[in-house]
Amino acid sequence: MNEHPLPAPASSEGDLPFRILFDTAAEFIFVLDQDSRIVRTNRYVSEQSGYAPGEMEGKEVTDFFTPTSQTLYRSLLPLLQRGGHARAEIELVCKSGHVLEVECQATAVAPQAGQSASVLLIQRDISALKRAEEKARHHQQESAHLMRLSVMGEMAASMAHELNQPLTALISYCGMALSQLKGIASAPDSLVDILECAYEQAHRASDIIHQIRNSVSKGNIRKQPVDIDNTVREVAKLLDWELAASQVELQLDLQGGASRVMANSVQIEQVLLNLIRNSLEAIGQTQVAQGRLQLQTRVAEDGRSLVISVSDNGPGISGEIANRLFEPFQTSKETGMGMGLSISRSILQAHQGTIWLDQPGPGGTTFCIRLPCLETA
Amino acid sequence: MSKRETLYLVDDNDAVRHALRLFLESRNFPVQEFSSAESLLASIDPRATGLLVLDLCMQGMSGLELQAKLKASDIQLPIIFITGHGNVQDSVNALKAGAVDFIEKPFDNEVLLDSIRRALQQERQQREQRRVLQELTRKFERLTPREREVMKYIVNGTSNKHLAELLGVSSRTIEVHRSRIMSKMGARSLPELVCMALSIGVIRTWSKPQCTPCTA
Ligand SMILES: Nc1ncnc2c1ncn2[C@@H]1O[C@H](COP(=O)(O)OP(=O)(O)OP(=O)(O)O)[C@@H](O)[C@H]1O
Ligand SMILES: [Mg+2]
Repeated sequence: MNEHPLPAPASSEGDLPFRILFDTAAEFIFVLDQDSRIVRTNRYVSEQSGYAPGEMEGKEVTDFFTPTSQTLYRSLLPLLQRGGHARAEIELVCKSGHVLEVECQATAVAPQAGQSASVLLIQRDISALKRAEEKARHHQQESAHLMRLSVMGEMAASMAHELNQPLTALISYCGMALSQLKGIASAPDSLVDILECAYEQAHRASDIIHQIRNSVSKGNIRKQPVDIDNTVREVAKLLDWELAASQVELQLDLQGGASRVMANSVQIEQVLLNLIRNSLEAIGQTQVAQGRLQLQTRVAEDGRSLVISVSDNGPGISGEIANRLFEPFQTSKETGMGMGLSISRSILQAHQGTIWLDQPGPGGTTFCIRLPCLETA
Repeated sequence: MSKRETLYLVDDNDAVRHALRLFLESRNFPVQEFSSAESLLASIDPRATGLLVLDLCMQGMSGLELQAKLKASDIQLPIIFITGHGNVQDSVNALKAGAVDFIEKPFDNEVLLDSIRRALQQERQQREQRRVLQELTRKFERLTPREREVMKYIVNGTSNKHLAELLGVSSRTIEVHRSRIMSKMGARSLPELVCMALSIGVIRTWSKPQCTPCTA
């Protein structure tokens, strides 16, 4: 067997394994000289950026960065010149003008025999990751915004309802007093005037309530055909972390198949999150050995609707409070607002759907949601 | 108006009930009030007449549920819904299920009163119609079998002569049948008799143009 000497460090350009690695890597690799000029690029760089190797060599690497990234990179130079290692997110501009977001690792390579110092840039395309992150952030913002809107809408609706009761009585009392007073010839006009003002103001109060309600509930909600199984999976993903932290076991049983419902998926997610949070909070209050949460979807027997259920093995809900659960401000929690279920019910109403507690009693809770299916052609 | 009909007032808000009761009594309606759908169900006479003023959202059984329960037990009180929570879907459901009106709280006394008057008026008309129909049916049943047969022919436009031939009797006999039928049914003309026949279902349709609808 021939004994070969160990290959010299990566600087030996002719070294085969290094070259193969260099050219097949699915990462952008730039070799730069001390002045940040491009000495070599790998095949991936030319494939992705659209520049031939010859077009790049000799140019400063920052010529291919966006202005912000140029500034960022220059700020790293002192560190690299001292032989350090840096990481940064850089925007790389392709020949077509398209911008790629890359995660850039810059490593200074000390001078080797016969060669001057250089910098090795290895960059990974994270555009897709960035887009996904952006989407997730946007989704979260939208969801939080909707949540605030629903809380406000729910409070406005319930306040309107509560205030309209005394106003009904007030307007009726005033009306009666007025008509009786007008029947008395000797009644002083000033008294009639005063009562008329009171009557008018009561009406004004009711108009204001009406306006507030309308302006809050205006948020017109866009609906689209939604694959509920997918929505449930998304929600499960969102909860991944919370489930792990509370050590609750999640079971998914998704049998919705090809059926679609006409819905605003963010709102449906909100309903599911409300139910699941309640379940996690309920499980947290008990001493069950293993908390379990089950999310199920199925098509109803008549094929016309989809039923989603959320079950837990928490303490359950006793019959007497079961009737009032869906009313606003009904809560048994110190920090609860009692809005979760009431908002959920409003959302379901706006979807021509229903939500109900499956079987009140101890030993776990199941809430079900029914949404009408879209007719399949 | 002679005897005023009873108003059943169901609302879980004490002040609303008190105010509306005062008002309706001041307009001479007998009022029975209930603070829940359940308490009305427990005490109402199945043959009760009058009108129900019903709150839509209440603790426990809702107005819509009560409406369904009453319908199922065949209690036919007209219903006016009042609600502090104007929801289009609910109002559609209520009206579809036969409610006569749906009023949003708060409202003017006179708005409620108007609605009550209209509902009672409508109810009276329907009751009168039912009574007239029952009476007509009774009159028809008092005809002899032969007279009933003759009546079916003549309201269909068969001439006396033709009918005499068909039944193998003299025209004179048919004349006699005919005038007996008219007087027993209390009809003053042939068109009137045709209308009666139509309304109690002796015949299904009438194709001759000379029938002008009459309500007598
Ligand atoms: N899975 C469950 N197990 C046991 N009790 C539950 C469950 N879900 C809801 N409840 C009961 O129903 C009440 C109302 O729930 P809801 O989500 O409307 O309000 P909340 O959770 O108390 O407050 P919020 O959701 O506004 O933070 C809860 O306080 C709790 O008593
Ligand atoms: Mg909750």
